[in-house]
This record gives sequence, structure tokens and C-alpha cells, in this order.
Amino acid sequence: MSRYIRAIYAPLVGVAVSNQELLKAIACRFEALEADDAEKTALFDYVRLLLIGQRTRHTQHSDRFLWMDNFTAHAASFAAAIEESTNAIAELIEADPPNKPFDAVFGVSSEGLLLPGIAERAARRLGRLVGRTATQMDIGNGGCTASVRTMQLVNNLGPEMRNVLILNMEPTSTLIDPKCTARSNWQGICTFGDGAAGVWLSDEPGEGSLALGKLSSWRGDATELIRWDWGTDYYRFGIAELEQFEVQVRSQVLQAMTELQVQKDPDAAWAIHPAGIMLLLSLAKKLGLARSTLEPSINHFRSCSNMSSVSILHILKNVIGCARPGQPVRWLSMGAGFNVACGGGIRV
Amino acid sequence: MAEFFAENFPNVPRDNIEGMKAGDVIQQSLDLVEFVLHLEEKLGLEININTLGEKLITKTFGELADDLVTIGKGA
Repeated sequence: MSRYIRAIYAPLVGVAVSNQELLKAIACRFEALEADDAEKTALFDYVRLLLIGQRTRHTQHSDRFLWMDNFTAHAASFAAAIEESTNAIAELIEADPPNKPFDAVFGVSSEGLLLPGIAERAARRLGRLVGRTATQMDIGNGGCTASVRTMQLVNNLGPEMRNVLILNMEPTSTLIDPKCTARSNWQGICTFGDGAAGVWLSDEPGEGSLALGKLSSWRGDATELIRWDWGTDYYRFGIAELEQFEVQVRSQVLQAMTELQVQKDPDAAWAIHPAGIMLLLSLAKKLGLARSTLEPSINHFRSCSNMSSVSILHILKNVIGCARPGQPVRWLSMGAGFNVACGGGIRV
Repeated sequence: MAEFFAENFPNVPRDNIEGMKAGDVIQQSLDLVEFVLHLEEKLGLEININTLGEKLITKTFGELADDLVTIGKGA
């Protein structure tokens, strides 16, 4: 059977914070950081390196997001972010609702837990658009590839699942540990932004939809490379072997591209997960892609930073919207696991 | 390094590049990444930005070159 991406709902949630605003906030927070001056100076120089140039990210937490210091603050921030994201996506769905209720709703996030889950909360919010017998389930801990791997999962479901809604919510700022001096923690703080997006997959095409082709994923051996560490309050960003991080990521992605036989289609429009500009440019060289092909991903990174699994959906919405009928669209994402996921389709 | 700056930053004076700080010349992350990728290509090395870390913005190009020699010997 054929399935189609009928719509991608990509609201911007939270408030935009520029590199300069974040650096100023971090400088203020560092004054209260318990570490010796030399360590703080070196760490702040590292933060300056990570925040070079013009880039923004969104944060759904208040302006005190660098001051969360107990479990309640982190968990409450996560719950509030999920509510804001659910409402933002629901408003976009309600503005142009499908003509049949969704048969399944999947909630996706890697930053926290809620009971009832994201899917049930969204189903309640969407009312008649989700039947009471619809499948409602959350998928956690998928990292940056969670959205496209969930699409792969849905694409393999039986034909009775005719209209499926995937809701991705990644309030990454809720993981910020302002008391920890580990560099991987601050790399996460400077790299990520909060985001939300939904995807409607259907067995019927519609105007501007994308007919799904082959979707695949690969897991490498660097299982600990990207992970959540934890302190006394909550989880936080972690990386094994920070000094070898970029080389290992590039190595894993290149190995995956060989095994997954990612095609170098010169006519295709590409969405690549913005794990970092260095990785983007390296991959473009390996894929033989023109620099202009990367613009959607680079532009997204400049305006939203890395919104974990949400980013690829925002980029895909843009790429599909700009693609001409009949043009191939491809995507490539990578993240914790270590997973690499790719897929593609043809613009209807 | 001189080749990269001649091509990408033609207004930067090249008579004392080794004494200039990279952080004073490179203001955008994209330029920084292009610089590192250029070094990788020319030196045949794989460079982790995290290995050089904040040296990329606090050290002079001359000092960076010394660090790259060390990385190259370890490769």
C-alpha cells in the first residue's frame, strides 16, 4: 500500500533567544557557578566558541531557564512545554482539519515523561478529530531520529491505519543543568532549542503531499556516544568522549550511508538534520551535494538551532513546500543510539 | 591558513597572520567550520572542534599551527 505525508504542522513555540542573549544569560549564571576561576574562564571561552555568530533558538521555559535547580522545576517546565506544544499543533490542525478522524496518534519526546501521555492529551485536545477507539501511544527515548523512525514505523503498519498523526515535542531546555560544569552539558545548552511539530500520514494523496518511498534506519556501535547523564535534580545532556565526538559522528554517519545505500540523486531536494554545521558540510561533500542544497537545513539551524527530532520535520515542510510535482525529496537524520535514518518520496 | 584567509577574508592584512587571534577574524560559525574543513583537507587530518576547543578563538594562528602539528603527530 502507498502512504503519503499529507501535512506537516510546524509551529514555533516559546520565545527566540539569540546567541548574544544566551551568552549574556550564561555570563550572569556563571557568576553564581561553584567552580574555581580558571575552570570557569576556560568553560566560558568554550561557550563563546559554541555561540559564535548569528543563530537563535527557542525556549519554552521562562527567562529563568538557566536557574532550574530542583526536580519540580524541570518536571513542571516539561509539562508546561508539552501543553503549549500540543495547543500550538492542534490550532494548526484545526485550521485545516482532515475530513476523517485520525486512526492513531503517537506522541514523541525524549526529554521527559507524563501520565497521561502526550498522545492522550493531544487526543483530548483534538476532540472529534481523534476517535475513542484510535490507537494512542507515546514513543520515548528516540533522540534526534525519533520523528523519522516513527514515520518508518507507521509506514509499516497495517492498512486499517489510514490516517495517523505523529506529534513530536522536544523541549530540550528542560534538561539544562546550570550547576554542572561538564562541557557536554554546556555543549547541549548551546546547541539545542525547543521545538514541536506534527505529521499527518495518510493512505490517500492530497494537494502538495509526498508519496513515501523507502524509509530505513541503521544503528551503529557507538551506543553511548550521545546520551542523557544525570545529576541530583534531573537528566542532562551527555556525550561520551567529547574530544572525539565529531570524528565519531561523521564516521558513524558515513558507515550508515554506505550500508543504507543512500542515493546521490542530483535532482532531489534534501532535508538533513542540523546536528551541526560541520557535519552538514562534511556530509554534503560526501554526498556530492551543492551548497545550495543545504540551505534549508543551514537556514533552519540559524533560526532554530537543533530542535532534536523536530528539526527534520520543520526542514521537510519547507523542502516539500518548495519542491515541484514529481521531484524526489530525501531526508537524512542522525542521533542517539547511534542511529542514522533516511527516507524519501516523490512530491505529488 | 594564509590561503584560506586570502580567499575568504581578503581585507584581513596578511603580513602578521601568525600573530592574529582566530576569534578576532572569524565572526560566524559557518566561517569557523569552513576554516576547520579547509585545514582538514590541506593537512589530511580529521579535526575535532572540541579537541581544539576554545583555543580556536583565544589563541593566535601561530599557536594554533603548533597545536595542529601536535595533532598531526598524534594522528
